[in-house]
Amino acid sequence: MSPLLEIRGLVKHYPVGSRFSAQRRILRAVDGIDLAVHPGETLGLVGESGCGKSTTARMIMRLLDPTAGRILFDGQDITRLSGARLKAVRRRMQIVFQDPFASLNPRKTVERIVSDPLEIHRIGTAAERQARVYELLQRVGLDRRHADRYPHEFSGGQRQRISIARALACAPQLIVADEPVSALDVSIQAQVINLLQDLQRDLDLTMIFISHDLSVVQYVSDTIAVMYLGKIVEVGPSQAIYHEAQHPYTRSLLSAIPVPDPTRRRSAPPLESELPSPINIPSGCRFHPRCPLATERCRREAPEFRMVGAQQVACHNI
Amino acid sequence: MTPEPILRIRGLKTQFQSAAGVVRAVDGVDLDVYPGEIVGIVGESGSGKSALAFSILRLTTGRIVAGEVQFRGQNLLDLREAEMEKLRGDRIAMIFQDPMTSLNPLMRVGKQIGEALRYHLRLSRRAATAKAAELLQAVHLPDARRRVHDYPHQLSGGQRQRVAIAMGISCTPDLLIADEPTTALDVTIQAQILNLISETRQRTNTAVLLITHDLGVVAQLCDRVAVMYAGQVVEQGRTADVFADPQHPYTIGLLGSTPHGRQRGEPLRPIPGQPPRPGEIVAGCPFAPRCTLAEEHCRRRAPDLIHIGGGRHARCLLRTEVAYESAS
Repeated sequence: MSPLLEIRGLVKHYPVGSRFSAQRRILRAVDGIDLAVHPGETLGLVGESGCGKSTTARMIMRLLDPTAGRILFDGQDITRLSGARLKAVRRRMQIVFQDPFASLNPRKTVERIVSDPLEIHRIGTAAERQARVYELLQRVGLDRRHADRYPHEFSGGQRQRISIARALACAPQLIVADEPVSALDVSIQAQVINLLQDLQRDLDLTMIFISHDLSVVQYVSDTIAVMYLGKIVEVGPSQAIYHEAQHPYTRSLLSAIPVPDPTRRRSAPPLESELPSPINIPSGCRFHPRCPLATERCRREAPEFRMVGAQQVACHNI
Repeated sequence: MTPEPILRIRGLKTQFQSAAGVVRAVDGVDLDVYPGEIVGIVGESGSGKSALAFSILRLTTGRIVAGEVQFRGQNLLDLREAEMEKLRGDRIAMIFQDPMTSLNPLMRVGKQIGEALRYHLRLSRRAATAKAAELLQAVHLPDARRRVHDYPHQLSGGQRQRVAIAMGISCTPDLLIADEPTTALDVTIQAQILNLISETRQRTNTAVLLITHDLGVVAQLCDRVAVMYAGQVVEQGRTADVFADPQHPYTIGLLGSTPHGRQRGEPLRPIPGQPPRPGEIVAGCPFAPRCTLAEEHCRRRAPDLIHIGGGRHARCLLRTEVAYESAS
């Protein structure tokens, strides 16, 4: 089966500093990544702040223009599409953002918010659109009584349900969920995760699920890609990554997650030092300054992907 | 024999006046903290855990309407403001979620740390700066001697939290209140800060009251835990006991909501519904509308926090009956 979405050598660089300075530097937000997502599958993209996961999401949605590389949606190169052709593709892919407070227009009713995509894409008559809104609200666990209300009248979890209803309005094939549950309390987080799982199964959605939380990502994903400073360091089947992580960064990420089980206190010491700046990326393997396994070679030479077990790992020492 | 608790809170109630009416943010909290232990207060947004922390230090913007906060034998609620000021930062210190807002952006970090030392310990400027550098070294800030001269914006989030901790422990307090100290940080940095808190406790025997929404943080760090819901402690006990065998349906629900260790396809068991809105008054047990075990009388009668044996407490009518049955 061919992938629904494929990205090849995707790069996003930002120039920083004064336009007239001789030392104009480059911030390498995303620095050459390849990914493929197959229909009906969930790809989890995980990493810490600044690793480039949200930038990747925005490039896939064509909300940001890549510096280099290609994005293929259903076999079509959409990297440079514009106008009506871009609009046609956008109908088939939608995004859910992290912050349900910032991503809903406070001056619109829920009905307007959810029906906006339908209007933009000129789908249905007014009556049909309204019926669709009611159906969507019900689908995400709200109901038609909520249609006339404004976002401020809802809790965080309910707002995220509204965002999901809006994303589903045009019946897209691909949903990009960028930290969709990170702003929610655990009990509500679980409700929204269950909802996304049900929707995916019932509507046969393909999903890219972005999170900094590896325990959530492993739970929802078929495949996981771990990002570090603009690169993918390890990618493979979710369970393999979670149970037999190979890359030293993935391992330290896993051991850093506080496990809600007091009988299993953390064994490995936490990772030393902090994330380097994406303006000043270390030579060779970009993880080497923090890596417990780093050797001289890691300082000189960037590792290529190799198959280790069920996953692909970019590390010289595994 | 058990030592005296260093902090003993009884019937504490803090209320806020809002457009929606009176918000009972802290609604009758009892809590003990013993010397040198780490006690976790876990709960979701709006459960009153931060309001509790701020009430202990009398920094809350709400009104403390009832209860007592016994610290080393004296009720903090009876103290004059000037006496409170002497305690804050000296015997009881606090660190906050966002070190960018709790540090003064216009003051070098060494000087900020030194302020408490000069005020409480009457150190000279020079001695305070030297001590600040030592403290920064103790919290493993790389290149500490030079960093005393940095401003907060020159540091990363994790480094700022280290500075805040250095400031918190500068006068070796008896109690450190940490309000979501790692929530704004990435997991690998969070792990470093949690290690640091644990190490600090070992070294100085400072008791820590750790406020968090993260059950993982509690499991990894806390000796005992109190679970809060709607302004009340609904369950408390030793961390190992509470996680192994939670007694309150809310705790059971929280633990069932975490995806940790669950396979794909195995559905999570979330708690249905929403917590009560601020100001909303729920008749009977505040958790009853979301509780899958709730019975008719749960909606009429509010349960008390009762001792259920083994140093554990739960606020649930179902447990109350079990306790009464086994007692009789």
